[in-house]
Amino acid sequence: LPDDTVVCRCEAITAGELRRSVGELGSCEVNRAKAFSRVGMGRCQGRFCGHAGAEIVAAAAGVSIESVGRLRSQAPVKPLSIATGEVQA
Amino acid sequence: VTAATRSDVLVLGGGLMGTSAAFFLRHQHRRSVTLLERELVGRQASGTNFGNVRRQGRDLAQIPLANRARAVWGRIKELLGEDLEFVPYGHLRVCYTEAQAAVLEAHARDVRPLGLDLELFTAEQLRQRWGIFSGEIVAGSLSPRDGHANPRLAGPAFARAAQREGAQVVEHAEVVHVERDGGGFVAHTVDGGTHRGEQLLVCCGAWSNRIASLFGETVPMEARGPQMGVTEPLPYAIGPSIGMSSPIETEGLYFRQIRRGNVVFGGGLKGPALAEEIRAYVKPDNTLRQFRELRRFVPAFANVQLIRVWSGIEGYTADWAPVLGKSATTPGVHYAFGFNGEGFAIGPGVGEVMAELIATGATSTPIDAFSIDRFAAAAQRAA
Repeated sequence: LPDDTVVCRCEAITAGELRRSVGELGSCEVNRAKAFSRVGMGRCQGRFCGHAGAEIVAAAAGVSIESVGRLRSQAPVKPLSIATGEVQA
Repeated sequence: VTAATRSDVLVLGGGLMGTSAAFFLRHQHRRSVTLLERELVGRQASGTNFGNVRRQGRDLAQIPLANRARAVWGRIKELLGEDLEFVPYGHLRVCYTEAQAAVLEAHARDVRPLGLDLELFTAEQLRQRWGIFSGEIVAGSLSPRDGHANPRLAGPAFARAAQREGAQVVEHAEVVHVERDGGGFVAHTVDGGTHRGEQLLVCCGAWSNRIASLFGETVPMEARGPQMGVTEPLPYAIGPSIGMSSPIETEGLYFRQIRRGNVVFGGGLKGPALAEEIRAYVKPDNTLRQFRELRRFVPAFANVQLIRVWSGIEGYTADWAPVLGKSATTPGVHYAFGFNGEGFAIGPGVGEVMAELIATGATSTPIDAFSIDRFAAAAQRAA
């Protein structure tokens, strides 16, 4: 996969940037790569790119895909408008 | 293979304080250093905070330290080889009431002799300069040389730089016990490693009491979780980091926009943080209350989507001041913890000051107000 291929469309992160987060910055798992490069940090929280990202990190680090873990996602499950009101008890 | 190391200085805790102290111990003082980190460097409070590089609004006793830290931030690229996304685009505090405007004015007067120059703004001047605020906002105070940076990058970058300078940084090294060892100390890790140091720096964030108690010193401190959120990317328009100054906790929101366009925000009530379980939570009620306050602060935020929330584990001391300096019971032991949710900005300064203190026995920046013995003295007075 060429370095300029966009892996994470939400955050526009390329395969090259992901490889750099492994090689230069020392990411050894996907959540570390996420912290350093923003991969999987956007609107979809890695639902589209999570697996591809994990494969690239594993290949660049020379380890198995199992050992790089999987992206931890946070609430909300999908984007939520800031216009959302408070829940009345 | 279990590790065994011996160094001049043993640093316990790989957050921003420990990694920057390790860096400066090598870079400025050429001490041998081993840093032990339970998990990965720069996580917990160091990696999950807002990323403010803010001097205004601090207790006056912290201003000299904050100034020193700001000087390090200004050299960050030169020191580390990367900029940590630090942008000196200013830190702005605004308020809803004339009473609070008077507080901002008094603060600007108080910090000027300490070397921090703030610019006061009327509501009209704020609207002309930024044009995003609601009509409720009556005044503001700008610290023009402050700004914000990326907390996810800072601790790991200091750790890498410390390693390049010759420090040993050991991750996945959870310390189970520390004891005296001749004239120095030895730390035992879960995996059977033994790490010896002539001097010890304890900077384990909300977990620091575990180590301090081994030396008969316990700080009244509890763990809380900041309630953070980030929006979808918007056109880049907001330079400074902006916060609401208010005596009402739920009103105290803050936000910044990163180059990518996302707006990062936090503030208001804290959430639960379970230090023992290493878990912290964002309460949905808190997020919805933040939404209300964000709309009141900047009405256009009503058109924006939240994409993610997170929290972390921060140590809050009983008197809202950090613990910095030498142990009161044990020569050779030093502390840097309990930063009350405002440690990031001063972190690199704390590292530089602690390195100086450990290497030379004294520091040119006043930190006496943060000595751990203040709690023993307070307990004695109460008894």
